Amino acid sequence: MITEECINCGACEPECPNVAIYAGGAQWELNGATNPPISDSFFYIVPDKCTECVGHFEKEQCAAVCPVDCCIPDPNRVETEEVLFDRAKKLHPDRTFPELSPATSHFRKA
Amino acid sequence: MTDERYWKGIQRFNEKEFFEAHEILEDLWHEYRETDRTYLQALIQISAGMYHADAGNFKGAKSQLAKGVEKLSQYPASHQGVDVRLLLRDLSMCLTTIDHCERGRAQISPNSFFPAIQLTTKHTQESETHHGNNDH
Repeated sequence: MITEECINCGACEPECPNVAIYAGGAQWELNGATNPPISDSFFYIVPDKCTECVGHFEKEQCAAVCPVDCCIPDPNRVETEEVLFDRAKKLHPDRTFPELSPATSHFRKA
Repeated sequence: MTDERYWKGIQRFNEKEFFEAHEILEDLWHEYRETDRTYLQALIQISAGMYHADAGNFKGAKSQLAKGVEKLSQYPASHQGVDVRLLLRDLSMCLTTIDHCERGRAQISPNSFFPAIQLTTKHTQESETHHGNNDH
């Protein structure tokens, strides 16, 4: 999630491999459907599109580039690595994902 | 710190252009990989906190300023040309003001107290020379 500390710099949006981040007020898309914005005031992450970068990177890329540390895990939505990886595969059906490793999951340490 | 963006960010902060200050410093922070990366992030968070305070987002302001203060507290009284001790003192006063605003006991106004990033004497002279050489 993105907290209300967000300063709308937009650094996070292009980093998301799942296109789960949208500017405040922008509609979001999933499976061909358009949905109303989750936030009108600042950037937001669509939970159903976020995999915490599992399947892609060793850590969450949005958090890595956020200069004000406002991209944080949602304490009200704690998901397992398995759930997140399944989501990644569904979001990218044309892609073959190798087995998870420390390079592609923050749940695993090198 | 020789990068012009550092001095420009500080200048913008002191001109109360907090969003622009954060943008300039963030641009530097993204490229910076040396030990002062956390210090730069502290300045960014302080800029972001003041931006939020100015916009009336007191909760966001307090959180960002607190994070910036925590990071900045790790540095000596004078660091990279900045009087860190004075800045921390000012930020403490600012946080009290913001807390009062959040509780409805005060309002942010053009006359409200805003912290300034004071330079140490040596670096005041250096940055003036630096800006004099680079102003267009």
